[in-house]
Amino acid sequence: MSTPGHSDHTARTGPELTRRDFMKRAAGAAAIALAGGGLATALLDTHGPKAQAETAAAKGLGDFSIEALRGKPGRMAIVRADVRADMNKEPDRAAMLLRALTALGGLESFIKPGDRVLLKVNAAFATSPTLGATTHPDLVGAMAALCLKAGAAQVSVTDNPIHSPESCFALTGIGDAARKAGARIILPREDLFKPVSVPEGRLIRDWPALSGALTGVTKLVNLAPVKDHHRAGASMCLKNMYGFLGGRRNVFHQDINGIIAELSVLARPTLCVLDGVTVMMSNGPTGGSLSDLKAAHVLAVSTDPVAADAFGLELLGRALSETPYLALAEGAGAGSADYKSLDPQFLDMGA
Amino acid sequence: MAAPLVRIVNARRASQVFFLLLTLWLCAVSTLGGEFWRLSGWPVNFVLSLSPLTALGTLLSTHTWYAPLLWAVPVIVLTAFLGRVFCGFACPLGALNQAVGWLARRAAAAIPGAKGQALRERLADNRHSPWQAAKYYILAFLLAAACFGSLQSGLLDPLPLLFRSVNLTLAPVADAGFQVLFSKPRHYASAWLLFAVFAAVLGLNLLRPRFFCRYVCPLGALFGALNRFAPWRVGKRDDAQYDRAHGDCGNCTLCDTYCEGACQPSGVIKTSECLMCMNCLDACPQNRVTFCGAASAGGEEHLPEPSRRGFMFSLAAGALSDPMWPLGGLADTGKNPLLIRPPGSLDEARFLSRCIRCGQCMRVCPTNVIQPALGEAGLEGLWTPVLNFRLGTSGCQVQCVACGHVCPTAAIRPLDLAEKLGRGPYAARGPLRLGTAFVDRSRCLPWAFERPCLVCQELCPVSPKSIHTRTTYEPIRFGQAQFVLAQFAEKGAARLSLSGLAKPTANLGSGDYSLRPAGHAMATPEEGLRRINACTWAESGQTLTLDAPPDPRKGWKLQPGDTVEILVRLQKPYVDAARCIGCGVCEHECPIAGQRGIRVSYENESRSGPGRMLV
Amino acid sequence: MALRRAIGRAERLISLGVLALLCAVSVWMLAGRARLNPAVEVALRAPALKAEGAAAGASAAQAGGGAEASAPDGAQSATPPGIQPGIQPSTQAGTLAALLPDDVPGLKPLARAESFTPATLSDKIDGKAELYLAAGFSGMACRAYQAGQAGNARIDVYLYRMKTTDAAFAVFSGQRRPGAAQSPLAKNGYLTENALFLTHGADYVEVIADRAGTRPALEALAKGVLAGLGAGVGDKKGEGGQSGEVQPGDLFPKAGLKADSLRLTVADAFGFQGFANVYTADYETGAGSGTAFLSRRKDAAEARKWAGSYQRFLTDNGYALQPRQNAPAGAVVLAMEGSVEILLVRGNVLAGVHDAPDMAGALKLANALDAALKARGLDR
Repeated sequence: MSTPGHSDHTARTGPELTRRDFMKRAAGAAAIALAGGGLATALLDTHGPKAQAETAAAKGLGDFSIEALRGKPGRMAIVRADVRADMNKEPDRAAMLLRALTALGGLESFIKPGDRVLLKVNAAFATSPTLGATTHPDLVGAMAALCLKAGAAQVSVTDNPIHSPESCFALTGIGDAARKAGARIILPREDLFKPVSVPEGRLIRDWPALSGALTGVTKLVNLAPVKDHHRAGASMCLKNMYGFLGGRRNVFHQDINGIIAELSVLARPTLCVLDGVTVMMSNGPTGGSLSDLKAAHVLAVSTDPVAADAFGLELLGRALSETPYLALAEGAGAGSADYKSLDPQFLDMGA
Repeated sequence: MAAPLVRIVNARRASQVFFLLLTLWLCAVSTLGGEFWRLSGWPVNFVLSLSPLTALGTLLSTHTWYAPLLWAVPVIVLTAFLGRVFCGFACPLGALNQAVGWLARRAAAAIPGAKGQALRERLADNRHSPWQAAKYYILAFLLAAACFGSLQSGLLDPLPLLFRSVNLTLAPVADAGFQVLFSKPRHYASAWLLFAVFAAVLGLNLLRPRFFCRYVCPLGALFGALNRFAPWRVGKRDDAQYDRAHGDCGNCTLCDTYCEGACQPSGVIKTSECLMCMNCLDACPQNRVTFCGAASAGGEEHLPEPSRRGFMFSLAAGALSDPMWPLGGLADTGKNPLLIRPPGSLDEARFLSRCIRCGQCMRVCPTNVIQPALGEAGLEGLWTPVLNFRLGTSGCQVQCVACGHVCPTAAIRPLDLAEKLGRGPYAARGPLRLGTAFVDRSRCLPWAFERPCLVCQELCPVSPKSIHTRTTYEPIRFGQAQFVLAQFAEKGAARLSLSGLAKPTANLGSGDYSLRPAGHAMATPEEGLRRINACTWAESGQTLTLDAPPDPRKGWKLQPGDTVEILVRLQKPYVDAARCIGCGVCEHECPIAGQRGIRVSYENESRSGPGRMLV
Repeated sequence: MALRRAIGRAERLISLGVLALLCAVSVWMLAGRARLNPAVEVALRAPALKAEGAAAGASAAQAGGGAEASAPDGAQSATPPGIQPGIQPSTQAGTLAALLPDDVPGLKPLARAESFTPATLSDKIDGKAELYLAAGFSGMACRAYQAGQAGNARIDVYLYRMKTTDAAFAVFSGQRRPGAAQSPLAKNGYLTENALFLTHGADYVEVIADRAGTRPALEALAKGVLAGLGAGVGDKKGEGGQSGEVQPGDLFPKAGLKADSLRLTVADAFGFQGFANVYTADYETGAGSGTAFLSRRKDAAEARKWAGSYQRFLTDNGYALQPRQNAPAGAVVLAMEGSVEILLVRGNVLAGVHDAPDMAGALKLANALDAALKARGLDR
């Protein structure tokens, strides 16, 4: 007779014990069987997988424009620094910005206390701000400070650059400027991208976009420099929105005007600041040489990004017909390409 | 007295033979056709869908129970109540393992005088080993990986393993010998590796009986876990009232000698290891080993070895392995350009959560282009199907939807032809694309070697063709010669005698070559080029026969000594990427045999976003 | 293994039970075999029966090539895009294919019939599809045959089902080859060296061989097709759109009419956009040939309206109004250097002379036309 050892059951095998043991085991076996059958029934899939994985694509990134202004012509202010004053000194962007905002009723009419603001900058390239390929850090710092002064609860700065994000925010000076002003940088982490579709869009369908940076955000400010662009014609406020796209987004260059038109309705900003202080006249969007730049000493602030871009075109010396995306964006309802119809205020920085 | 025929071990043997033959038959018939010995309506995935490991694995990775895998439910029910009957009665790989082991030991025992020694060795081999816990760790690893979306169970699940080995190594050898099913021998990449694995599995039975089943098989491990509460099980009856016994248990250990699962029926039986082979029951001379609803008199133990720590470690390894796979950048942008999957395949993440590497698609593909991947899909995708258009008899046929209809887990969706071709309700979406063909202008004959060809365009099966051409007339190398004199016949042909023409390396009279006065800008026949109908070459002089007398009004004013030059008409292929479906016929037929002049890669495939090339 | 144990009844029963289960599985397998796997169905339906069976099995799907033929049994479940609503071209095309016979004495079909819809017609006949589509096209079926006695000549039959009889006549007359012989098989039918062309109601049939001298085979095939057509739509060959009315073609005067010159232009006749359904016939006039034309409109008012529009079109293009002497009553005579046009309206018919080289011949033709129309009861 062998030893019992670790055993579930002792050598005692009276009939009642056996029967009780049997019933217990039968119950256990039935439980396993039912679990198997139950799982199968509950999760039964008779149709098989669909061709495309189900994605709950969000509809656009949001409309952050001021409600009271929707449907009405936008508001615009254009500030020009005194060119004669000092040719060698760079104009004070912060002052110009403040001047323009004051003319529009002050930033308080746009940013209310408690707002969470996102500044969408152009940090596409890891280049120095003097090369004019990215948003100037002075502008970022000034805007962030003004927002906080107006009572914003939080100011964030973001972009999905072409070069490595850490280098971009560092070399362009935007990272430092933001942090000094009290804003935080949101780097484009993988988990912040979710599939997004532009309603009635043909290109942006289930495409990863940086919607994670917009969670909780109530106001969106677009800060863009005026740049030439070899493919699109120009890169200004509307093209700045490309920085919200993820994935292999360069495939959209095949229909560059179409994609910019869809970007114009992907996310509508509260305010746009178009920095024409130093304009990249040629070899855009990367530029690379100071000889590509021209000092125009102008800054425009507008609630209408299409109008802002239309004004920027004049700085580049281009006609509306050379950049079809403006008409397409206007057609999509993103704004008006005739910026003069907004009755913009022209301001000089004074003596 | 002859042993009675109707007993449980014979039923078990019959059942094993049945399932093994069924498996071989289902593999053999997996070829496209309506005859009895071809696919027709045979449920070729029946055996594969019996595996609860496949069902559980796909359940964890896809959160659904795919309907064809419902066959696993009765298997689970049977196991829960009766124990590992699948291992003993049904599993075809188990049957093979058992057969190999039995043959080897029978042979050893047949050597004169060696029987006693053989039996003693057999007994020793059947001692329960703590290493039998390994399969539970393997199971834990696989299930954890499945939880995170990576289904690797097909590598070691005996059913896909057997199907893969038969489909990709044994069947092609048989086919080649008999030339019955395919006119050309089938090729499968890395067949040697597949065979080596299979041979190892079978060969290890010489070391221990049913080695794979005892130490490695994750399906067996799953069954071992499921039979915990089986009310009826194999065991010893020791009570005095057991009237069928012939005598008391004498510890002869004959039951252990013939045990296939190394579960130690003579002592404390390891119930999780009992394969229900019934050999012990059959061998016991005292008739004390039975299958009944009571505990074994010697004691029972379920899952003796797996330590909790070891188990957790395997789980963790499986779970953590999952984030490691994408580090290779394989799933998205770093994908190997040659990762072209069969039509109907899901996007890569979902594909790898379903594919069990059974090889059915590779077997049924009529053109033999579906191959087991080695590196194309990374380690995670080992032996999953990829298309290789250099192998096989043609590209992926436009009118064929076979692969998806034999995939047991719908990693390749079963398509209807309308969806594949983009017709009817699918017209807006267009045809299914596997990838895009790219002309390699450095290797294509008309582009790089001034030779006319155009096989790719001819065979492009879509309408309008995605390969289109632009025609140019280009001067050939060494195509210049001096004009000597002309002979014009009454109607039609004109003969020119030339000198100094180098020995042509192509047939100048093939209809692709034309002549013009050198230095002239004539670029088309309309502008005056004359086609060469025939050419006779001799060192001393050459004669060209043209299709018509040259027209002096178009610039043909030849004096003896003037130079003329020969041009070749080249139609150069261009791929219209918006229309190319990536079927690979062009690549397959391209006469540049090594690295083809036109090659397909996965860009613009329908199944995934990152591959999108055109908007 | 020596065995001395007794096999209990339970064991025997269970063993037999296992064997019974195996039998059940086998039966189930065999039964399941009958229901073909969809992939096999697709493979067996693949187009083009290749004559010799390769070892790979004639049932294995062939390398897809050329036109995709829709299954003649109407297996297509949805209409292809670009089709006008109200028409079911797939079933239409499917039944058309069935009209091409399998059994014609001396002829053997080489493949299954192929069907084409307005959307896919150009896949088969390329640019020529425009001609049919403009005239009003419903569907086409075609099939290749082999004529045993004519040295295994290959003969292709094309059956075009047009939307109206006029449309069939339009494509027939528009492609008529000059100098062909009249075919006895149909009122509108002619033979060339290697082909036979005819209309039957709204159908236009082409029977084309790959070599000359196959007339018996062509006619046998045409008869086979006509037999299938005759039983269905309109057995009166060349039946007019409105029963009882005279065919416009028959309104032309017979004298001087050049044989086989009767043509129907369905749209944009004489280069005038919108000028539809105009019959033309060429005549030998004194100085050469002139063309008489007539177009039956809905009513007299419409005929007059079109006369006015066409007249404006002519004057816009340089024709000048001429004095009307010797012209039929109410006719308008216009002329330009070397070309004379005469327009007249009789009842709901707009008729006249187009591009005549000289005035005398034009007037003669116009008067003959007027007389022919008056004889049919059409005047003023």
